[in-house]
Amino acid sequence: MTAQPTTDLAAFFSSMTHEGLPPAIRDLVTDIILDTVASAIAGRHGDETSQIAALADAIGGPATSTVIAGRPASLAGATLINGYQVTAVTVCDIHRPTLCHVTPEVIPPALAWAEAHHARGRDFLVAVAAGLEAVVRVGTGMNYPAMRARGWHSPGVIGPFGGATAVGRLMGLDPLRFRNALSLAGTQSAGTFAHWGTPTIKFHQSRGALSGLMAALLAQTGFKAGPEVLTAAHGGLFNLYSDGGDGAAAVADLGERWMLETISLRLWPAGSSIQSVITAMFALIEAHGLTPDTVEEIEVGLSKTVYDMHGTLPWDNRFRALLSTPYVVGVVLHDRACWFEQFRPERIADPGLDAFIRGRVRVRIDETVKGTGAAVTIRTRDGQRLTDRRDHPRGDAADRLSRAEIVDKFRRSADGLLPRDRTERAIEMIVGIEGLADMAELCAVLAAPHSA
Amino acid sequence: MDQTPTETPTETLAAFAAGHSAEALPASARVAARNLLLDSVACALASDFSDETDVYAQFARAAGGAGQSSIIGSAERLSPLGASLLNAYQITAATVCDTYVPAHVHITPEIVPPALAIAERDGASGAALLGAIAIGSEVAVRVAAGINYAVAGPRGWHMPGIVGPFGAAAAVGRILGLAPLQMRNAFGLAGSQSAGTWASWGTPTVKFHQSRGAGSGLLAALLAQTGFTASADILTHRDGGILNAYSDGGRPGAITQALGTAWEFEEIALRIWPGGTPLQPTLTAAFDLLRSAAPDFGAIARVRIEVSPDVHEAHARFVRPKGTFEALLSFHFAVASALRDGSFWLTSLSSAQIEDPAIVAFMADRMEIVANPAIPRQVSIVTIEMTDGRKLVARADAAKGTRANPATVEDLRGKFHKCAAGRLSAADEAELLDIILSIEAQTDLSRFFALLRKPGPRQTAA
Repeated sequence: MTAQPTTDLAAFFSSMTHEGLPPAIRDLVTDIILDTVASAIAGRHGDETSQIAALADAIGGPATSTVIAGRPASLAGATLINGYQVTAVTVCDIHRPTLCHVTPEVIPPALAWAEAHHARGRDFLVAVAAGLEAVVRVGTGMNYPAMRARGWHSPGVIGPFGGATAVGRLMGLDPLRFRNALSLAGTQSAGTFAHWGTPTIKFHQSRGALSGLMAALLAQTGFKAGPEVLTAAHGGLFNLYSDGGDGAAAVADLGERWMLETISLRLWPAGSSIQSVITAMFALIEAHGLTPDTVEEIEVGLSKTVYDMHGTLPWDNRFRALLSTPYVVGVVLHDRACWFEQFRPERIADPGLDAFIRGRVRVRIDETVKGTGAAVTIRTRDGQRLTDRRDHPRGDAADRLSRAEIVDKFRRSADGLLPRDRTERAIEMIVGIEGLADMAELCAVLAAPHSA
Repeated sequence: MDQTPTETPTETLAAFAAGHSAEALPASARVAARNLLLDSVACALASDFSDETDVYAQFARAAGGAGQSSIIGSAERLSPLGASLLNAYQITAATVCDTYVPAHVHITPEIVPPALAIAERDGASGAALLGAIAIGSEVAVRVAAGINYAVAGPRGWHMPGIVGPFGAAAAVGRILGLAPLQMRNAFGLAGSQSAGTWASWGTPTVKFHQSRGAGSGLLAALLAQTGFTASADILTHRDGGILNAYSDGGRPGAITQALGTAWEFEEIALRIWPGGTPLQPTLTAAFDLLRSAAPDFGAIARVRIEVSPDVHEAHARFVRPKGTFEALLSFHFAVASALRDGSFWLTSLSSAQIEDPAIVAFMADRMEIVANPAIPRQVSIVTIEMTDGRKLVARADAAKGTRANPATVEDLRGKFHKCAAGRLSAADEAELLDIILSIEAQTDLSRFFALLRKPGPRQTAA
């Protein structure tokens, strides 16, 4: 049992090198960067993205930092907007054990800092790996069930550690400054499920990204903070947010086991906890050639936790449709696709689709379904009963996407938002990020065409 | 089941914050709000007494960037975010700013800077600024009362970063003219950023909470203005409402009870002297004695300081303080300095003074601090025995600067002068004071902001 996980994490990240990352982890982090940038491009479709952009304008500062597929903003502003865009259309990563989107808090602040300081691609990759690892490890130290019971939403609570770590790694902070950066991240941990069903739940990711950036910037000046923000007797995060936690778990096998491998990606926009439902639906549709007129009834079994969040929500707007199990089931059956077209207001309002969902889709609690798994049973008009059970969705850490699938997601995301040649150039640069001399070059390719 | 939808405490507070007319503030609340503005500008001008202010300015520059918002005491102008962060830090930097004692929370650092930044950007009037400070402060202390610090404090929460964003969002939201629904969303967004624990006690990071709180409230109000939506009930939501997540359900009634009638923010105490809040009753008694009897320092045989047992337990250890941080918590040092010099100010906290042999010997040989179970923590008794046998006793039932023993305008002018001395010309200081004292009548604040930017590095201290 370590008495000082914050100090140990800081020391590790402070001295982390490219050579210390196994090739498989470098490949995985490259995939995660590719997926995150794809998600951020797609985030231009987000209904609230323009509101975050207006906020970024209002907080001021010179517009020197790239907004992915958008107009430039200040360092803080671009961090807020990119943080929001990554998560805006609900297609980004998810760390299921802590229900945390990790990439929105890690990659935007690292990108902003790397662009401003012309960091090399390989240093950026190491920084992102460090940031992802920091979030997952701090999250692993938390007693998540207790944390969730108190109402905490992970991205704003553990996310700031990721941005602080990624930017701190790029800055090359010494161990003491690094520890202060982590403490300054933890002293900004915030955000609860009170906002479930409103976009503020996603603002946690955006604000978490800014908090991490601020923590690193302040620590870089030599500003001092408490030594053990995670385990301090009075005000330590493990106690305060999760009734105890486990400091040893947070630092177990540091540098040998890469906990970032437990981060999952998503092929489809829609709530992270209902990706198994979509996986099962596509599997059934493909195996049996199902169409709406052949289906009598669809029954979806979910765990109680997922049912409570995604089983009963109305699908009256895009934001909620993306989180609604009945809507997603219905639209996937009708369209044999799950992308942004499926969540346009006119599609959501389609009376035929709506009537089908209300008449033929049932969602219930299934005690045999664990976590974010799903059991989908379809009764066809000709009397068949077809079932598909999933413990994990496609994209899960246990069922990884191939790079080709992620590249395909990138192209779909960029369609209509970046010129095709820029899209291909960006994919090429990210796939070869370890050889990229200057991250500002990638940012120039990712900027909106009219602002380049 | 309720047949009619009832308003949540968050909605009630938001409707109050958005709708309460500044003209309807009672005179006492207007004076209190004006004094908060006066005192916060004074405190910011004293920020050069703190070692970290310069590096914090570097940070605010990096995080916020250049812009058009005034920095108190500097010609440099930063973005609204950068100015909110830096001005907030400056107000709290030298540990002489306000305290809402029931929740152990500093209020002005979170509220005044973002209100200033948006008032300056939008050309708001002095009356609008004053209303924003009053309502913003009221919102912050109401949320603090609702959280119930007696529960949240022992858990490890530090209130400025938790309730400050609400007050700052209310103050900025007033200037932006947010509608009640937007204000409710601003509160939701404020609460989504509530953060800060005592894990960094003893480091400047506890002051970062005030600064971040200011920035968080600014972000909340500006984002809510765009129509961004948030929880309808960030305060008492069963799953993650502030009163549940940070406390044990708190006291929701304390948030809304007599809202707009009883002005809880008038309880915010100002500090006439540096030093921790618990020292202020003792300093009040000591200065009463200095004024009434002017004892000769060389002829003092013995000083006895009586405080409540809990204050004694926290502070009796600092009988021989090492460094500024401990000196600010040391009853021995503060009272010895006051008795010898007839004053106790930030200039008293130099290492030369802390190590001054005369002070050190006096603290060791002639002073004692004792716990008196018969007195509460806001009371202190100072007894001086002179070598000729005379005995001088003063009892302070409340610290100077509290509602029960209010600071007079002259007290605040005196503090302002000490903060501004060596940084502003006498004429500029007088003009700035005049503007602040008549802030409600100022329709154009551009001269006020110009004067805030005028002070240079301190030449000679008062």
